[in-house]
Amino acid sequence: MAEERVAIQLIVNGRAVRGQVEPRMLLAYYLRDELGLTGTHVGCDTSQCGACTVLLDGLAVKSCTVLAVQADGCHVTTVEGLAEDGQPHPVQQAFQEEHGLQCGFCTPGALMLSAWLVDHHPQADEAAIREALDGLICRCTGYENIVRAIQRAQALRQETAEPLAGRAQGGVSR
Amino acid sequence: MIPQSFRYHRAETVDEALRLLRQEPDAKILAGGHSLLPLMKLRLARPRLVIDIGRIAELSRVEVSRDRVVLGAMARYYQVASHEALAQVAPIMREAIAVIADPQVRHRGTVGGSAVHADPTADLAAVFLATDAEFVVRGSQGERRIAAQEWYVAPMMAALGADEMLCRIEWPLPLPAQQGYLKFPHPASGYALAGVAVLLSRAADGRVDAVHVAVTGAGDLPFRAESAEKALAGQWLEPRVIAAAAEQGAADGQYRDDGPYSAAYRQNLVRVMIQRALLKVSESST
Ligand SMILES: Cc1cc2nc3c(=O)[nH]c(=O)nc-3n(C[C@H](O)[C@H](O)[C@H](O)COP(=O)(O)OP(=O)(O)OC[C@H]3O[C@@H](n4cnc5c(N)ncnc54)[C@H](O)[C@@H]3O)c2cc1C
Ligand code: FES
Ligand code: FES
Repeated sequence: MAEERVAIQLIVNGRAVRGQVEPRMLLAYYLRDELGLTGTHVGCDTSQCGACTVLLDGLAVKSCTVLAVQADGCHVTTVEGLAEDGQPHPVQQAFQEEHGLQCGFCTPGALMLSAWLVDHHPQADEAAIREALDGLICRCTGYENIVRAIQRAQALRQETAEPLAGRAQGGVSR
Repeated sequence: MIPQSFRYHRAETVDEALRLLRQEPDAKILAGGHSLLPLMKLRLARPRLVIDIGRIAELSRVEVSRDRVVLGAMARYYQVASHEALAQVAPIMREAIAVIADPQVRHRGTVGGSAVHADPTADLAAVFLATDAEFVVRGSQGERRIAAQEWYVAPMMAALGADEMLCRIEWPLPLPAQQGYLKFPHPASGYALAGVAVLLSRAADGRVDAVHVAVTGAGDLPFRAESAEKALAGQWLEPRVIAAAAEQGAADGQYRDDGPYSAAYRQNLVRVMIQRALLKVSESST
């Protein structure tokens, strides 16, 4: 079959990018192979592990299960774009302080999922945090430190009381 | 893993999507993509044309009026679960969506995709059956309505034609006020090994006025446990009554041995889950 290419245009980590992609190109591979943003990891490639999690218009999604063409016209944030104005995002600082990682393979996904949770559900209690972590398989940490890191990030967020203006709304149901 | 090459078209309107669907017999509609893309990556699905309906605005609406709920087929799980007016009249939607997969999947998956994919373990299948949802599909002959009880015709097969699209899911209001969904997840996949949806209303004296019980996951197809409903009609919800109804309702399903789970295990699990769901809902406030 002839390999059609489709023009796409998106904002990745605040920067406008244009590309010509095969429709079957997955967002994870577009980010890694075309844009060189290899922070986004592909773990299972079967929609299970969450290592490939990025923010699509502010919402955590598994980029191995989104076509690049579906992201056309959208804002994408990867772990490379998580820092705000040169300052680490609260989850980055908190993962460091609370040792929320060991081998680090799942960490880009863990950070993106946590960033979404902290920004959209700043009041999430421990049960809700654990529930949300259903979307992340970490083979190393046993999750305890990840939970602690998210709670620490919530506290850091509150200290800086950063307004959420301009961020897309998303929600888990609890 | 990379899907086989395909042509991609983002439809702007339902009519455009339907026209493409008629022109290319080997086409697939792409909604949230969280069932279709995994299948395409495994090459279990190899469409020549993918028709993306993700930007058709009319398909994403969620409307709650005095006497009706209208869910666009493209309404995503998180969007439906965070809709306050819907939570007032149909709290069961929020409760069931909360136990579908994880936040990332709920940010992409759609109510229409779940319905059309017709996985016999899909959580919303029990909810659609219990709420008597109506599926509004559109094809070259115009629109038609399909009742939930007619929708799930075979595993992974819904009652819509190859040249038809699901546009919206509706149900008349009011629904019985006490509602609940209880899931026993498969330990590995997280899909429902058994999921039970219950809607209940009671007369002033406490007897059952209306009760709907539907089951997903365990049987060959999702089903309404009508024998349980009959056993409960006009009764006070005493533990003995609930236990008997659960036993009869579980017998309404068709089960088969599958992997480590025998047909007998599945039926027993459904019995236990119907019992628990009825207890939970009968103790809930409206
Ligand atoms: C890791 C993971 C875990 C999951 N866990 C659960 C779970 O616990 N419970 C559960 O219920 N589900 C689960 N799912 C499935 C998920 O709910 C899917 O999102 C859903 O089944 C399909 O919705 P979609 O919008 O993604 O559909 P798509 O994948 O886009 O489409 C699915 C099928 O429906 C067709 N289709 C979609 N919309 C229409 C339409 N409007 N008209 C005609 N045809 C249409 C497509 O052509 C395709 O054949 C899980 C999925 C993943 C990846
Ligand atoms: S690589 Fe995407 S979910 Fe595992
Ligand atoms: S830190 Fe190793 S997989 Fe999570």
